Amino acid sequence: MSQARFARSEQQLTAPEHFALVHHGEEELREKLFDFLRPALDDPKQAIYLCGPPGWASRLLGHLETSVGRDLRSEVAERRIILGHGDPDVDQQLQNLLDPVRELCGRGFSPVRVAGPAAWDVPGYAAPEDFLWYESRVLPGIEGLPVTIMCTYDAARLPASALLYGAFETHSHTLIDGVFSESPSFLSADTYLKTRLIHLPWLEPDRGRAVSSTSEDRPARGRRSRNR
Amino acid sequence: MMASSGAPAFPVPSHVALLHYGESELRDAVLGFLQLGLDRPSEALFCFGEPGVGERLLRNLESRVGRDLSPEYRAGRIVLGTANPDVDRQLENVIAPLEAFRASGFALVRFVGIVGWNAPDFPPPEDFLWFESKLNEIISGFPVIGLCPYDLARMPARAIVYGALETHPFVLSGGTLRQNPQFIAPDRYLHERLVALPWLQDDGRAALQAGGGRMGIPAGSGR
Repeated sequence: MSQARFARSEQQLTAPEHFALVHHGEEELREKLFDFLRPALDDPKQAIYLCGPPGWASRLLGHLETSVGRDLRSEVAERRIILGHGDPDVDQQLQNLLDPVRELCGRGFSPVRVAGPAAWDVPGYAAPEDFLWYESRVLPGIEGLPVTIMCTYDAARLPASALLYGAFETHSHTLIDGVFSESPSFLSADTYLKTRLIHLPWLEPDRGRAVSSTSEDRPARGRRSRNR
Repeated sequence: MMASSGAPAFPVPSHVALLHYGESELRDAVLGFLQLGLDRPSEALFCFGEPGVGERLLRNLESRVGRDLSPEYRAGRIVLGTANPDVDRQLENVIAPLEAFRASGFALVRFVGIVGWNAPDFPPPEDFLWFESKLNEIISGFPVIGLCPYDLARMPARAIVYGALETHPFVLSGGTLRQNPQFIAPDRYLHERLVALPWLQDDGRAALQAGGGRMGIPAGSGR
Protein backbone atom coordinates (compact mmCIF):
# COMPACT_ATOMS: atom_id res chain seq x y z
CA MET A 1 0.00 0.00 0.00
CA SER A 2 1.47 3.34 -1.05
CA GLN A 3 0.67 6.66 0.61
CA ALA A 4 0.80 10.00 -1.13
CA ARG A 5 0.96 13.04 1.09
CA PHE A 6 0.55 16.67 0.05
CA ALA A 7 3.19 19.38 0.50
CA ARG A 8 1.20 22.00 2.35
CA SER A 9 -2.02 20.42 3.48
CA GLU A 10 -2.64 17.56 5.85
CA GLN A 11 -4.10 15.33 3.13
CA GLN A 12 -2.67 11.87 2.71
CA LEU A 13 -4.02 9.54 0.03
CA THR A 14 -3.79 5.80 -0.33
CA ALA A 15 -2.92 4.62 -3.84
CA PRO A 16 -4.43 3.68 -6.18
CA GLU A 17 -6.49 6.86 -6.19
CA HIS A 18 -8.22 8.83 -8.93
CA PHE A 19 -9.62 12.12 -7.70
CA ALA A 20 -10.91 15.35 -9.20
CA LEU A 21 -9.52 18.69 -8.19
CA VAL A 22 -12.21 21.32 -8.75
CA HIS A 23 -10.48 24.68 -8.93
CA HIS A 24 -11.16 28.18 -10.15
CA GLY A 25 -8.64 29.50 -12.65
CA GLU A 26 -4.90 29.15 -13.20
CA GLU A 27 -3.69 30.58 -9.92
CA GLU A 28 -5.48 27.97 -7.84
CA LEU A 29 -4.38 25.29 -10.31
CA ARG A 30 -0.73 26.24 -9.83
CA GLU A 31 -1.10 26.25 -6.07
CA LYS A 32 -2.83 22.85 -5.90
CA LEU A 33 -0.51 21.33 -8.47
CA PHE A 34 2.44 22.31 -6.33
CA ASP A 35 0.76 20.96 -3.21
CA PHE A 36 0.19 17.61 -4.86
CA LEU A 37 3.43 17.17 -6.83
CA ARG A 38 6.09 18.77 -4.64
CA PRO A 39 6.58 15.72 -2.38
CA ALA A 40 7.51 13.69 -5.46
CA LEU A 41 10.21 16.20 -6.39
CA ASP A 42 11.71 15.88 -2.92
CA ASP A 43 11.71 12.08 -2.94
CA PRO A 44 13.75 10.23 -5.61
CA LYS A 45 11.60 7.13 -5.09
CA GLN A 46 8.57 8.93 -6.50
CA ALA A 47 7.77 9.86 -10.10
CA ILE A 48 5.44 12.18 -11.98
CA TYR A 49 3.44 11.85 -15.17
CA LEU A 50 1.86 15.01 -16.63
CA CYS A 51 -0.72 14.87 -19.41
CA GLY A 52 -3.63 16.68 -21.06
CA PRO A 53 -4.42 18.14 -24.47
CA PRO A 54 -1.37 18.83 -26.65
CA GLY A 55 0.94 21.33 -24.97
CA TRP A 56 -0.60 21.01 -21.53
CA ALA A 57 2.03 18.74 -19.99
CA SER A 58 4.75 21.31 -20.77
CA ARG A 59 2.54 24.02 -19.37
CA LEU A 60 1.99 22.09 -16.14
CA LEU A 61 5.75 21.47 -15.92
CA GLY A 62 6.29 25.21 -16.32
CA HIS A 63 3.87 25.89 -13.44
CA LEU A 64 5.74 23.39 -11.33
CA GLU A 65 9.16 24.86 -12.20
CA THR A 66 7.90 28.32 -11.29
CA SER A 67 6.57 27.07 -7.97
CA VAL A 68 9.72 25.22 -6.95
CA GLY A 69 12.02 27.84 -8.45
CA ARG A 70 14.24 25.49 -10.41
CA ASP A 71 14.64 23.80 -13.76
CA LEU A 72 13.26 20.25 -13.90
CA ARG A 73 14.87 19.23 -17.21
CA SER A 74 17.15 16.67 -15.56
CA GLU A 75 14.16 14.85 -14.03
CA VAL A 76 12.50 14.88 -17.45
CA ALA A 77 15.68 13.59 -19.10
CA GLU A 78 15.94 10.67 -16.71
CA ARG A 79 12.20 10.02 -17.13
CA ARG A 80 11.37 10.50 -13.48
CA ILE A 81 9.02 13.12 -14.86
CA ILE A 82 7.28 12.05 -18.06
CA LEU A 83 5.35 14.47 -20.25
CA GLY A 84 2.46 12.81 -22.04
CA HIS A 85 -0.49 13.97 -24.08
CA GLY A 86 -4.08 13.13 -24.87
CA ASP A 87 -5.36 12.00 -28.23
CA PRO A 88 -8.56 12.47 -30.25
CA ASP A 89 -8.75 8.67 -30.28
CA VAL A 90 -9.75 7.92 -26.71
CA ASP A 91 -8.45 4.35 -26.73
CA GLN A 92 -5.06 5.76 -27.65
CA GLN A 93 -5.47 8.40 -24.95
CA LEU A 94 -6.02 5.72 -22.32
CA GLN A 95 -2.96 3.87 -23.59
CA ASN A 96 -0.97 7.13 -23.48
CA LEU A 97 -1.76 7.27 -19.77
CA LEU A 98 -1.37 3.63 -18.77
CA ASP A 99 1.84 2.77 -20.66
CA PRO A 100 4.09 5.36 -19.01
CA VAL A 101 2.44 4.91 -15.62
CA ARG A 102 3.11 1.16 -15.77
CA GLU A 103 6.65 1.85 -16.94
CA LEU A 104 7.27 4.07 -13.90
CA CYS A 105 5.75 1.51 -11.54
CA GLY A 106 7.84 -1.20 -13.18
CA ARG A 107 10.98 0.84 -12.49
CA GLY A 108 10.08 0.81 -8.81
CA PHE A 109 8.74 4.34 -8.32
CA SER A 110 6.08 4.58 -5.64
CA PRO A 111 3.83 6.43 -5.58
CA VAL A 112 3.57 7.65 -9.14
CA ARG A 113 1.72 10.94 -9.21
CA VAL A 114 -0.28 11.92 -12.27
CA ALA A 115 -1.83 15.29 -13.03
CA GLY A 116 -3.79 16.40 -16.07
CA PRO A 117 -6.56 18.84 -16.87
CA ALA A 118 -10.03 17.87 -18.03
CA ALA A 119 -10.71 19.36 -21.46
CA TRP A 120 -14.22 19.62 -22.89
CA ASP A 121 -15.07 20.02 -26.53
CA VAL A 122 -11.51 21.03 -27.38
CA PRO A 123 -10.36 20.56 -31.01
CA GLY A 124 -7.77 17.80 -31.31
CA TYR A 125 -8.95 16.14 -28.10
CA ALA A 126 -11.42 13.40 -27.28
CA ALA A 127 -15.10 14.36 -27.64
CA PRO A 128 -16.85 14.92 -24.28
CA GLU A 129 -18.66 11.57 -24.27
CA ASP A 130 -15.42 9.80 -25.21
CA PHE A 131 -13.52 11.73 -22.59
CA LEU A 132 -16.08 10.59 -19.99
CA TRP A 133 -15.57 6.98 -21.05
CA TYR A 134 -11.83 7.50 -20.61
CA GLU A 135 -12.32 9.00 -17.14
CA SER A 136 -14.47 6.06 -16.08
CA ARG A 137 -11.78 3.58 -17.22
CA VAL A 138 -8.87 5.20 -15.39
CA LEU A 139 -9.44 3.66 -11.96
CA PRO A 140 -9.76 0.07 -13.26
CA GLY A 141 -6.62 0.72 -15.33
CA ILE A 142 -4.49 1.49 -12.26
CA GLU A 143 -5.93 -1.19 -9.99
CA GLY A 144 -3.21 -2.63 -7.80
CA LEU A 145 -0.67 0.01 -8.80
CA PRO A 146 0.89 2.64 -6.51
CA VAL A 147 -0.57 5.45 -8.60
CA THR A 148 -2.42 8.60 -7.56
CA ILE A 149 -4.11 10.59 -10.30
CA MET A 150 -5.36 14.15 -9.94
CA CYS A 151 -7.64 15.32 -12.77
CA THR A 152 -8.10 19.06 -12.67
CA TYR A 153 -11.50 20.59 -13.47
CA ASP A 154 -11.60 24.35 -13.88
CA ALA A 155 -14.95 25.68 -12.64
CA ALA A 156 -14.18 29.02 -14.29
CA ARG A 157 -14.03 27.50 -17.78
CA LEU A 158 -15.90 24.21 -17.95
CA PRO A 159 -19.65 23.76 -18.40
CA ALA A 160 -21.68 22.38 -15.52
CA SER A 161 -22.25 19.06 -17.24
CA ALA A 162 -18.47 18.42 -17.34
CA LEU A 163 -18.43 18.84 -13.61
CA LEU A 164 -21.30 16.51 -12.78
CA TYR A 165 -20.77 13.78 -15.37
CA GLY A 166 -16.99 14.03 -15.23
CA ALA A 167 -15.60 15.29 -11.93
CA PHE A 168 -18.26 13.91 -9.63
CA GLU A 169 -19.44 10.75 -11.35
CA THR A 170 -16.13 9.32 -12.60
CA HIS A 171 -13.94 10.10 -9.58
CA SER A 172 -14.29 8.42 -6.22
CA HIS A 173 -13.11 11.55 -4.44
CA THR A 174 -13.02 15.29 -4.99
CA LEU A 175 -10.77 18.02 -3.71
CA ILE A 176 -12.60 21.34 -3.48
CA ASP A 177 -11.29 24.40 -1.67
CA GLY A 178 -8.79 22.22 0.18
CA VAL A 179 -11.37 19.70 1.34
CA PHE A 180 -10.88 16.12 0.20
CA SER A 181 -14.11 14.15 0.32
CA GLU A 182 -15.82 11.12 -1.12
CA SER A 183 -17.97 11.86 -4.11
CA PRO A 184 -21.48 10.57 -3.35
CA SER A 185 -22.26 10.67 -7.06
CA PHE A 186 -19.37 8.37 -8.03
CA LEU A 187 -20.34 5.48 -10.30
CA SER A 188 -18.11 2.46 -10.80
CA ALA A 189 -16.81 1.96 -14.33
CA ASP A 190 -19.33 -0.75 -15.18
CA THR A 191 -22.26 1.17 -13.74
CA TYR A 192 -21.12 4.32 -15.46
CA LEU A 193 -21.00 2.55 -18.80
CA LYS A 194 -24.37 0.85 -18.40
CA THR A 195 -26.40 3.59 -16.76
CA ARG A 196 -24.79 6.91 -17.56
CA LEU A 197 -22.65 6.88 -20.66
CA ILE A 198 -25.34 5.54 -22.96
CA HIS A 199 -27.84 8.02 -21.53
CA LEU A 200 -25.89 11.26 -21.56
CA PRO A 201 -28.59 13.91 -21.95
CA TRP A 202 -27.07 15.67 -24.94
CA LEU A 203 -26.94 12.40 -26.83
CA GLU A 204 -30.67 11.81 -26.44
CA PRO A 205 -32.56 13.47 -29.29
CA ASP A 206 -35.65 14.52 -27.31
CA ARG A 207 -33.88 15.90 -24.28
CA GLY A 208 -33.37 19.54 -23.55
CA ARG A 209 -34.72 20.88 -26.82
CA ALA A 210 -37.02 23.36 -25.06
CA VAL A 211 -34.01 24.96 -23.46
CA SER A 212 -32.57 28.01 -25.11
CA SER A 213 -29.53 27.40 -27.25
CA THR A 214 -26.31 26.84 -25.36
CA SER A 215 -22.78 25.89 -26.20
CA GLU A 216 -23.64 22.32 -25.27
CA ASP A 217 -26.64 22.19 -27.57
CA ARG A 218 -24.73 20.36 -30.22
CA PRO A 219 -24.76 16.98 -31.88
CA ALA A 220 -22.59 14.25 -30.45
CA ARG A 221 -19.32 13.81 -32.28
CA GLY A 222 -17.69 11.16 -30.13
CA ARG A 223 -16.88 7.70 -31.40
CA ARG A 224 -18.61 6.09 -28.42
CA SER A 225 -21.88 7.82 -29.26
CA ARG A 226 -21.63 7.03 -32.93
CA ASN A 227 -21.12 3.37 -32.10
CA ARG A 228 -24.15 3.09 -29.86
CA MET B 1 -32.90 7.71 0.39
CA MET B 2 -36.04 6.40 -1.25
CA ALA B 3 -39.58 6.04 0.09
CA SER B 4 -41.51 2.83 -0.54
CA SER B 5 -43.30 4.62 -3.39
CA GLY B 6 -39.97 4.97 -5.19
CA ALA B 7 -40.02 8.75 -4.71
CA PRO B 8 -37.06 10.26 -2.87
CA ALA B 9 -37.58 10.33 0.90
CA PHE B 10 -36.96 13.98 1.71
CA PRO B 11 -36.26 14.89 5.33
CA VAL B 12 -38.42 17.73 6.71
CA PRO B 13 -37.27 20.42 6.71
CA SER B 14 -34.73 20.05 3.94
CA HIS B 15 -33.03 22.13 1.29
CA VAL B 16 -32.24 20.13 -1.81
CA ALA B 17 -30.37 20.95 -5.04
CA LEU B 18 -31.89 19.20 -8.02
CA LEU B 19 -29.28 18.69 -10.76
CA HIS B 20 -31.05 18.24 -14.08
CA TYR B 21 -30.26 18.59 -17.75
CA GLY B 22 -32.80 20.62 -19.70
CA GLU B 23 -36.55 21.17 -19.46
CA SER B 24 -37.70 17.60 -19.88
CA GLU B 25 -35.85 16.28 -16.84
CA LEU B 26 -36.87 19.38 -14.89
CA ARG B 27 -40.56 18.77 -15.60
CA ASP B 28 -40.36 15.08 -14.69
CA ALA B 29 -38.70 15.71 -11.33
CA VAL B 30 -40.47 18.89 -10.26
CA LEU B 31 -44.00 18.06 -11.35
CA GLY B 32 -43.78 14.63 -9.71
CA PHE B 33 -42.63 16.32 -6.51
CA LEU B 34 -45.47 18.85 -6.60
CA GLN B 35 -48.14 16.33 -7.58
CA LEU B 36 -47.43 14.27 -4.47
CA GLY B 37 -48.31 17.33 -2.41
CA LEU B 38 -51.35 18.12 -4.48
CA ASP B 39 -52.74 14.68 -3.66
CA ARG B 40 -52.45 15.40 0.07
CA PRO B 41 -54.80 18.13 1.32
CA SER B 42 -52.59 18.88 4.32
CA GLU B 43 -49.77 20.01 2.05
CA ALA B 44 -49.21 23.30 0.24
CA LEU B 45 -47.26 24.16 -2.91
CA PHE B 46 -44.98 27.14 -3.43
CA CYS B 47 -43.61 27.79 -6.92
CA PHE B 48 -40.89 30.42 -7.16
CA GLY B 49 -38.62 31.86 -9.82
CA GLU B 50 -38.10 34.66 -12.31
CA PRO B 51 -41.28 36.52 -13.38
CA GLY B 52 -43.59 34.07 -15.15
CA VAL B 53 -41.81 30.93 -13.95
CA GLY B 54 -44.28 30.18 -11.15
CA GLU B 55 -47.21 30.58 -13.56
CA ARG B 56 -45.53 28.28 -16.07
CA LEU B 57 -44.98 25.63 -13.41
CA LEU B 58 -48.63 25.86 -12.42
CA ARG B 59 -49.78 25.44 -16.04
CA ASN B 60 -47.49 22.44 -16.44
CA LEU B 61 -48.86 20.94 -13.25
CA GLU B 62 -52.44 21.46 -14.48
CA SER B 63 -51.54 19.66 -17.71
CA ARG B 64 -50.03 16.80 -15.77
CA VAL B 65 -52.97 16.28 -13.43
CA GLY B 66 -55.57 17.13 -16.10
CA ARG B 67 -57.54 19.70 -14.17
CA ASP B 68 -57.81 23.38 -13.35
CA LEU B 69 -55.97 24.26 -10.15
CA SER B 70 -57.32 27.78 -9.74
CA PRO B 71 -59.48 26.73 -6.73
CA GLU B 72 -56.31 25.65 -4.88
CA TYR B 73 -54.60 28.84 -5.98
CA ARG B 74 -57.47 31.05 -4.79
CA ALA B 75 -57.61 29.17 -1.49
CA GLY B 76 -53.95 29.92 -0.89
CA ARG B 77 -52.86 26.31 -1.02
CA ILE B 78 -50.79 27.06 -4.09
CA VAL B 79 -48.70 30.22 -4.07
CA LEU B 80 -46.64 31.65 -6.92
CA GLY B 81 -43.63 33.68 -5.81
CA THR B 82 -41.39 35.97 -7.80
CA ALA B 83 -37.65 36.55 -7.65
CA ASN B 84 -36.25 40.04 -7.18
CA PRO B 85 -32.89 41.56 -8.12
CA ASP B 86 -32.76 42.93 -4.57
CA VAL B 87 -31.85 39.84 -2.58
CA ASP B 88 -33.37 41.13 0.66
CA ARG B 89 -36.70 41.54 -1.11
CA GLN B 90 -36.31 38.13 -2.65
CA LEU B 91 -35.78 36.60 0.77
CA GLU B 92 -38.87 38.40 2.01
CA ASN B 93 -40.79 37.03 -0.98
CA VAL B 94 -40.00 33.56 0.34
CA ILE B 95 -40.43 34.11 4.07
CA ALA B 96 -43.83 35.83 3.93
CA PRO B 97 -45.61 32.96 2.11
CA LEU B 98 -43.94 30.39 4.38
CA GLU B 99 -45.30 32.23 7.40
CA ALA B 100 -48.74 32.39 5.80
CA PHE B 101 -48.67 28.65 5.12
CA ARG B 102 -47.70 27.98 8.71
CA ALA B 103 -50.49 30.23 10.00
CA SER B 104 -52.94 28.29 7.82
CA GLY B 105 -51.84 25.06 9.47
CA PHE B 106 -50.38 23.20 6.51
CA ALA B 107 -48.37 20.19 7.64
CA LEU B 108 -45.86 20.49 4.80
CA VAL B 109 -44.90 23.02 2.14
CA ARG B 110 -43.33 21.82 -1.10
CA PHE B 111 -41.23 24.70 -2.33
CA VAL B 112 -39.72 24.77 -5.81
CA GLY B 113 -37.39 27.67 -6.58
CA ILE B 114 -36.16 27.63 -10.15
CA VAL B 115 -32.59 28.90 -10.10
CA GLY B 116 -31.45 31.77 -12.29
CA TRP B 117 -27.81 32.74 -12.69
CA ASN B 118 -26.85 36.18 -13.88
CA ALA B 119 -30.45 36.69 -15.02
CA PRO B 120 -31.86 40.23 -15.24
CA ASP B 121 -34.70 39.66 -12.77
CA PHE B 122 -32.60 37.67 -10.34
CA PRO B 123 -30.11 38.79 -7.70
CA PRO B 124 -26.46 38.91 -8.85
CA PRO B 125 -24.77 35.51 -8.47
CA GLU B 126 -22.91 36.33 -5.26
CA ASP B 127 -26.07 37.73 -3.69
CA PHE B 128 -28.01 34.71 -4.83
CA LEU B 129 -25.42 32.45 -3.18
CA TRP B 130 -25.94 34.36 0.07
CA PHE B 131 -29.67 33.80 -0.35
CA GLU B 132 -29.20 30.06 -0.96
CA SER B 133 -27.05 29.69 2.13
CA LYS B 134 -29.41 31.80 4.22
CA LEU B 135 -32.36 29.64 3.16
CA ASN B 136 -30.92 26.83 5.29
CA GLU B 137 -31.47 28.93 8.39
CA ILE B 138 -34.86 30.17 7.25
CA ILE B 139 -36.43 26.85 6.42
CA SER B 140 -35.16 25.21 9.59
CA GLY B 141 -38.11 26.89 11.27
CA PHE B 142 -40.76 25.66 8.82
CA PRO B 143 -42.16 22.29 7.74
CA VAL B 144 -40.82 22.70 4.22
CA ILE B 145 -39.00 20.76 1.55
CA GLY B 146 -37.15 23.26 -0.64
CA LEU B 147 -36.17 21.99 -4.07
CA CYS B 148 -33.80 24.20 -6.08
CA PRO B 149 -33.34 23.01 -9.68
CA TYR B 150 -29.96 23.77 -11.30
CA ASP B 151 -29.91 23.22 -15.05
CA LEU B 152 -26.65 21.61 -16.17
CA ALA B 153 -27.42 22.56 -19.77
CA ARG B 154 -27.50 26.28 -18.96
CA MET B 155 -25.50 26.96 -15.81
CA PRO B 156 -21.76 27.56 -15.61
CA ALA B 157 -19.81 25.10 -13.50
CA ARG B 158 -19.28 27.70 -10.78
CA ALA B 159 -23.04 27.85 -10.16
CA ILE B 160 -22.98 24.12 -9.47
CA VAL B 161 -19.90 24.16 -7.23
CA TYR B 162 -20.62 27.26 -5.16
CA GLY B 163 -24.42 27.11 -5.35
CA ALA B 164 -25.86 23.64 -5.77
CA LEU B 165 -23.14 21.77 -3.90
CA GLU B 166 -21.96 24.16 -1.22
CA THR B 167 -25.29 25.60 -0.08
CA HIS B 168 -27.51 22.48 -0.08
CA PRO B 169 -27.26 19.66 2.49
CA PHE B 170 -28.89 17.30 -0.02
CA VAL B 171 -28.51 16.72 -3.76
CA LEU B 172 -31.06 15.03 -5.99
CA SER B 173 -29.61 13.74 -9.24
CA GLY B 174 -30.84 11.04 -11.58
CA GLY B 175 -33.74 10.34 -9.19
CA THR B 176 -31.41 9.60 -6.27
CA LEU B 177 -31.35 11.77 -3.16
CA ARG B 178 -28.00 11.91 -1.38
CA GLN B 179 -26.51 13.71 1.56
CA ASN B 180 -24.01 16.17 0.24
CA PRO B 181 -20.48 16.17 1.74
CA GLN B 182 -19.64 19.42 -0.07
CA PHE B 183 -22.28 21.36 1.89
CA ILE B 184 -20.92 24.24 3.96
CA ALA B 185 -22.94 25.39 6.97
CA PRO B 186 -24.35 28.93 6.55
CA ASP B 187 -22.18 30.60 9.15
CA ARG B 188 -18.99 29.22 7.65
CA TYR B 189 -20.21 29.82 4.11
CA LEU B 190 -20.79 33.47 4.89
CA HIS B 191 -17.50 34.07 6.65
CA GLU B 192 -15.15 31.88 4.67
CA ARG B 193 -16.58 31.20 1.24
CA LEU B 194 -18.82 34.09 0.25
CA VAL B 195 -16.24 36.75 0.96
CA ALA B 196 -13.63 34.78 -0.97
CA LEU B 197 -15.52 33.73 -4.09
CA PRO B 198 -12.81 33.41 -6.72
CA TRP B 199 -14.35 35.73 -9.29
CA LEU B 200 -14.71 38.44 -6.65
CA GLN B 201 -10.99 38.43 -6.04
CA ASP B 202 -10.42 39.73 -9.58
CA ASP B 203 -13.26 42.23 -9.52
CA GLY B 204 -13.12 43.29 -5.91
CA ARG B 205 -11.15 46.49 -6.13
CA ALA B 206 -13.22 47.91 -8.97
CA ALA B 207 -16.44 46.86 -7.33
CA LEU B 208 -15.65 48.50 -4.04
CA GLN B 209 -15.41 51.75 -5.97
CA ALA B 210 -18.48 51.15 -8.12
CA GLY B 211 -20.81 49.74 -5.47
CA GLY B 212 -23.32 47.06 -6.42
CA GLY B 213 -24.80 43.95 -4.80
CA ARG B 214 -24.73 42.79 -1.21
CA MET B 215 -21.14 41.66 -1.66
CA GLY B 216 -20.21 45.02 -3.19
CA ILE B 217 -19.94 43.61 -6.69
CA PRO B 218 -21.74 44.98 -9.74
CA ALA B 219 -24.47 42.69 -11.03
CA GLY B 220 -23.26 40.38 -13.74
CA SER B 221 -19.71 39.90 -12.58
CA GLY B 222 -20.33 36.28 -11.72
CA ARG B 223 -20.80 35.11 -15.26
